Amino acid sequence: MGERDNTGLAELRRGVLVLAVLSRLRTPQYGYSLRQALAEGGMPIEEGTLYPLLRRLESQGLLASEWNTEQSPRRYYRLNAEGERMLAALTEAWREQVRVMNSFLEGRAQ
Amino acid sequence: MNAHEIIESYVRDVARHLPRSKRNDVAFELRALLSDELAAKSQAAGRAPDKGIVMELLKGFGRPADVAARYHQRGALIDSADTHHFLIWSLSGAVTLSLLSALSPSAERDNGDEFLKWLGLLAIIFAVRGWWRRRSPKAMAWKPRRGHDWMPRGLALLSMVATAVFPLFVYAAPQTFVETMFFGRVVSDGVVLTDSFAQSGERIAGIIMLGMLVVMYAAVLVQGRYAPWSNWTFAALHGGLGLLMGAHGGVARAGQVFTTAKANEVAAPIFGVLGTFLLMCALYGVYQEWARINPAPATDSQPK
Repeated sequence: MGERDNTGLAELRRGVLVLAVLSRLRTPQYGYSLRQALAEGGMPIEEGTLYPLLRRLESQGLLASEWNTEQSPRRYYRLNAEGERMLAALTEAWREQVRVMNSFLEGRAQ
Repeated sequence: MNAHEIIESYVRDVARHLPRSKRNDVAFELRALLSDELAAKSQAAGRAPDKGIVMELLKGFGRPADVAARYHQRGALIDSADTHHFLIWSLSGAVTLSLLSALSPSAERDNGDEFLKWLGLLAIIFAVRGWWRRRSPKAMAWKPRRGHDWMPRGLALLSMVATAVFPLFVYAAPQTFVETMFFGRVVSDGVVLTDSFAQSGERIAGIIMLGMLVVMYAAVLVQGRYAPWSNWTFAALHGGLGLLMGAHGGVARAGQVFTTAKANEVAAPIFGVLGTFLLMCALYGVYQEWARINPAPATDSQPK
């Protein structure tokens, strides 16, 4: 894959990053485990992008977090009620976008 | 420095770019996350964490200031979208000061100092505008406006009358102007022109050009807008008058415009400032024509 392809792919991933992260936070995750989960699921994300994003989503009121300092100190994030609502809304919008894009790519749309 | 000391240094550099209220908590989490990442990278490399591994990790993470900006984005002092206008205004200040120095020399003026003040003032104005735009987007929302060719008739009338009174009337007959303005109650001997200046070709040219300016405003008044040819004519007249006023400043400094030394002393800097203003008007007119937007498809040799 060429550099231009990589740039296009990065742009594409950036657009769905929030949805991907919210979808993985139905169960509590800390930063590194979330990054691993996303990578294993086929969406590798740079650490410098993901960790600040978690903070931003929390400051936007979509996530709750708490420290677990029993072993290595780790901050666990999970969806709160507003995050659940946002996830549902974005999921619906995503499915609609997929339907539209499929129709574009398959040449059905006018 | 060992790997953990390098991480500590990196975390400190990220945290010091953050608001005080967030620093400690972000630093604590970032240090834990980097330790997790370092452990994974060491395991993958099959060796204990060393400087090479940690530096590679941190390079991938990004420059501390950039990482901090992802945690907490601060508004720019001057928005990148405003950079072009900031540069234009900065350059205009530099040109104005240079012209002022040439046309109205003064030992007291320090151009470097004045330019720094101008840049500082611009930075404050742009920063406040940007802050206000982010705070009240509706108040600063874009509004449609007419192009530079449009001039309201009221303004054209005002410009025509104002130009006819000042500077044309003052310039052509300073004594009569003073007598008229003060109903003859003020002695006008102080503004008597020397014979050499009164009969000079430069002064005749000045009267003609100022007269043409009045006629031009009258044309704009009739048309309700600038015609394409009139923009260049205005620029040429402003440029010619600017140079002429600058030259008059030199004549006044030599004491040869008015018969009294005091009047020459007062008039010299006024000629200089007026000349600078007129030359800036001319340059602005030329810039407007150079930057005129005529929507058209780009040719092959132009960047798209």
